[in-house]
Amino acid sequence: MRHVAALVTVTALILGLAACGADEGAPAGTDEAATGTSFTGTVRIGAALSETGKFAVEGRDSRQGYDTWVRWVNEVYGGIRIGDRSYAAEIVYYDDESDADTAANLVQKLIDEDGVDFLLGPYSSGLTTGASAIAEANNVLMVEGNGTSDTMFERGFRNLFLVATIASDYTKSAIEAVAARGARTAVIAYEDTSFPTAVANGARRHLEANGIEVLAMETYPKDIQDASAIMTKFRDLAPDIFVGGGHYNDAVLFVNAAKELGFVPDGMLITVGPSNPKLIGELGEDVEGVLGPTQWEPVMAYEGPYFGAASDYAAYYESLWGEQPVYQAASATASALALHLAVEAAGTTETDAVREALYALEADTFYGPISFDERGVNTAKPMGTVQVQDGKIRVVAPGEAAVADLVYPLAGSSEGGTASTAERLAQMLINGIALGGMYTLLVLGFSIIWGVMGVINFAHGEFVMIGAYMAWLANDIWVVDPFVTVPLVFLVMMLVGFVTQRLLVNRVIDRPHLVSLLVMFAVAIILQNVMKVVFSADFRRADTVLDGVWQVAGEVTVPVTRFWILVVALVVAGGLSLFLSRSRLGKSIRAAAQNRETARIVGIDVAKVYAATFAICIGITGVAGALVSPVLAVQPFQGPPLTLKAFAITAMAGLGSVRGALGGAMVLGLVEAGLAIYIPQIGTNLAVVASFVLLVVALVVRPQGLFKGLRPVDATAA
Amino acid sequence: MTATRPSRPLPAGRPGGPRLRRVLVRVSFGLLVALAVLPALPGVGDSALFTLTLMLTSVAVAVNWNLTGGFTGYVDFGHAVWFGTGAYTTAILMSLQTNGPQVGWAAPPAIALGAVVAGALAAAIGRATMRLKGPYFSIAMLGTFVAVREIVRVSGGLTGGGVGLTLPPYLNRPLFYYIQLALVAGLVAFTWWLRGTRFGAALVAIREDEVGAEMRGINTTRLKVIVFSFAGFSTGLFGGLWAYQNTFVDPDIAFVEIRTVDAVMGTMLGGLGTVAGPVVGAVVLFWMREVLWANLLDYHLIAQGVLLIVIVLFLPRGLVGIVDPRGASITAMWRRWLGRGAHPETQEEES
Repeated sequence: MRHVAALVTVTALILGLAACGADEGAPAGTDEAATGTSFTGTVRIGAALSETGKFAVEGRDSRQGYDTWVRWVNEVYGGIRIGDRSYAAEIVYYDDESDADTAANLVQKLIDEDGVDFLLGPYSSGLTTGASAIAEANNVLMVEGNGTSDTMFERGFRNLFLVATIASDYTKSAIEAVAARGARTAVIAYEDTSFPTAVANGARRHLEANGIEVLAMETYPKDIQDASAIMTKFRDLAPDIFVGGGHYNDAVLFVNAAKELGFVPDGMLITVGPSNPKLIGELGEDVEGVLGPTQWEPVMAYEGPYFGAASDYAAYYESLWGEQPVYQAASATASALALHLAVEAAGTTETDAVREALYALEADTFYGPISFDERGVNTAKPMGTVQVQDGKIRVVAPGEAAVADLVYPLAGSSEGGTASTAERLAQMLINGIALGGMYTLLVLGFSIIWGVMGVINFAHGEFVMIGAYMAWLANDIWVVDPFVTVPLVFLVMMLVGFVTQRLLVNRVIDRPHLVSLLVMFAVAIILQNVMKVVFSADFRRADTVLDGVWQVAGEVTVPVTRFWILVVALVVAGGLSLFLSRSRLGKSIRAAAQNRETARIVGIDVAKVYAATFAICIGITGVAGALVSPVLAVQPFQGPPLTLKAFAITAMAGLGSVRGALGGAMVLGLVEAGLAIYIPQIGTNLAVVASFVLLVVALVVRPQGLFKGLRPVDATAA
Repeated sequence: MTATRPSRPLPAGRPGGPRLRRVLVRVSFGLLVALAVLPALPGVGDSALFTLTLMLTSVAVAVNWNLTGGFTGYVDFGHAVWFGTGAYTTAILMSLQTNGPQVGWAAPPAIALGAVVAGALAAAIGRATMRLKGPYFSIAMLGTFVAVREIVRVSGGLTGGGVGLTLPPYLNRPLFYYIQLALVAGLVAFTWWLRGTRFGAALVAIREDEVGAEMRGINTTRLKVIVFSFAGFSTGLFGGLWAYQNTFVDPDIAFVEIRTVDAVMGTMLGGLGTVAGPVVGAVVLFWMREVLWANLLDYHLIAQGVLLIVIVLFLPRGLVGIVDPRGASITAMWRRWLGRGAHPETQEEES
């Protein structure tokens, strides 16, 4: 039902964009102190939090955590007690858009214009790093619980305090638990940004301290869509433990890829995600047995004079927000609580006195013990470890907080040995061809539109994304397989293509390249953000019955879903080729591509031909989206990398050439698979840029393109 | 098919009559004086100055982008790479360490060298990519941008990898405000002067008819690479200034696509290929975002996308085109939407 409502919303949004601005009240603002109790004054606290952008979800949880404290202080506790007076708590919020620059500027604004007494942290280490530098320079205290990178606390700041466990200790209790059960080898994959790097380096230290050998460490860039290359490499090393991490969405990628490849290590430890019930909702059984660190869980045995026990806090939180608190929310509440206690202990809001009180603080709380070391880090609270057991999140470590026994090794964990050189090569070729098949399907529509109409469809990836969301919705509501949805997606997307062409493309087709490029770029931005408003930025995945792997020989496997995508790609490419060369419409399309004026003279209605071309190509593009929905993460921002790959393949291989698209896609697929498998540690990073390097080299060396297409590539001809 | 023609081919030299020019010069000076005394006004705090400094940064990037994108018609989709290069060079030099303590360079030479490195890299890359035309150049630059970001990310020893680098915090908002104000004023004056020189006329000739320009004996490749490197140098300078004020860099904040997008959108909005266009457009865009922030939040990017379509369809000559006496009327805009009536920039377009 919710999805139907969501669909209606999409339609409404597209129809009435202009109307939606004015009355969507701004969530940013202040939480007024509750009336009723009489307060002498107000303690103003400021926080920049992400309401939009990639941390929108965690930002909202953090905000609810801060607001829980505000409501509790003002309504239950009776205000912050300074001396014998009681002050209302007030938090001024701004949306930092998940952007570090913005967060830093907003903190400056909170200090200068809103005159806040203290600051609470934004979400994520990246944002906290910049924001805390501003706080430090202005000598304003910032207490936070959701930016845990070690580097932040190596700067010698005196105004930054962290109530949560620091990143390098995230995996400590989990690693100790699996080491005690006999784990001997491990692999680590991490996003190459501040927080995951700190976690991974910490994990390596804890692994080695516990006598576990680290077989490989792999990095990957932010916003990857597919972790299967890393997982292939890891599967062939046959480790006991997989340690992976970045942010919530990466958990979806890793579990997906492990399932797709039949990689089941004895234990899987994923940094962020397993402690979030949403992950179980999205991935179901596939996430069973996965371990994850947690700052805090409602079932933990912590208790304190404020909020009571952890479970009491959870109940209070739920009464306010109608949902269970995740640890980000609890960390936020605990940050505000630590600040509150320090202010009361200091008896003033004066910075130096409160700082001393923070250093001196020793408190037991619902969140665990709080006591800051000289860096400003709370070293009293250990990190917990959860495991998904029977679809529930259970705390399994450390011993004192555990409510269930660790399940280790996982059921059905692969016995597989390490792969031989020949097996690795075979696997690389299979992966490359499978990837090439996917790229073929993804690039065809883009290539034909460019070749026939001379329009570079910069919103190409967004049409893939819409197709993927359609398949995911059908899968989620009616449990229809994405492969079954294909005809429907094709028809609907043809209509979408037709409307887009009539409404927009037709109006700019006679104007310079840049104009259509910019218009489609604008369409891309609009579609991304409309989908984000409706479906959130969470990664989704559709399920297909055509999943798993075929064991062909030794350690070599063929991923089933990708095999069928390759089959569909070849069928579509063949069909399209026949259509263009044999059918009347196809011949008209080619004629219009070669010479529009002459085509017009011989009686071809070029406008109709263009509309048909656009409709067919967008239809194919939507189908590509539907089919990759079980393989690539379905999310609002999946489009741009796909558009760029489509551009690279097309410009390399020839405009509007079906054969070129197939050839270029295979080359790119094989190069990416080769880099990912054979280059240690940074292979996946390199695969991301492979398409660009190929493109630039191909254009500079051979500007006329590698294959003959419907129109010349002519990259240097004016 | 080549780069865009944003306006009717204009005669070389500065557009507008001498009277209009005199008015413009007076307005510009008035504006400059107003901005110079602004920090002295009550109620203008560090935060307001920081906001204005960020605005000046966007103006500078848009003006630099316009040098290649507007004047020569080479639409650079990866311009932010020079910003990141300047920022990273500055950060690397300033955070040099020997066994712990920072022994980094002082800010001024580090920022200056950052700009030089960005300019040199632009010269090297421009020599290869500026041979490409139209969308090929655009996407090759986008590719360069993504590739450089990944190179920075994987060169952990030098750049701190994905974790990035921390600079010694030094936050003097008024100082940076004045530095950037002076630089932006100088940059705009330089662009204005350039537009009137033979060199400037040659750049516009490249946009209007590159082959023709070559035939007349203009060494187009040399001019293109010179102006491209200058744009890289100047954007790199602002990148270095930004890094110092931001106190840290990592690949995802130093190399961010939105900087290029804002430069393109701001220039389009103000008026492609004009001197005032990128300034006006970047300022309007910046303030629009500040306003949209408060009222639209989730929807601000949707609104920005709609705005871009509106600009491209209805205001191909930008805001500056409106005040131009030859600018389009409302009815002309409407006809354009209906698909009738010629587009000012397409009169001699072929497909």
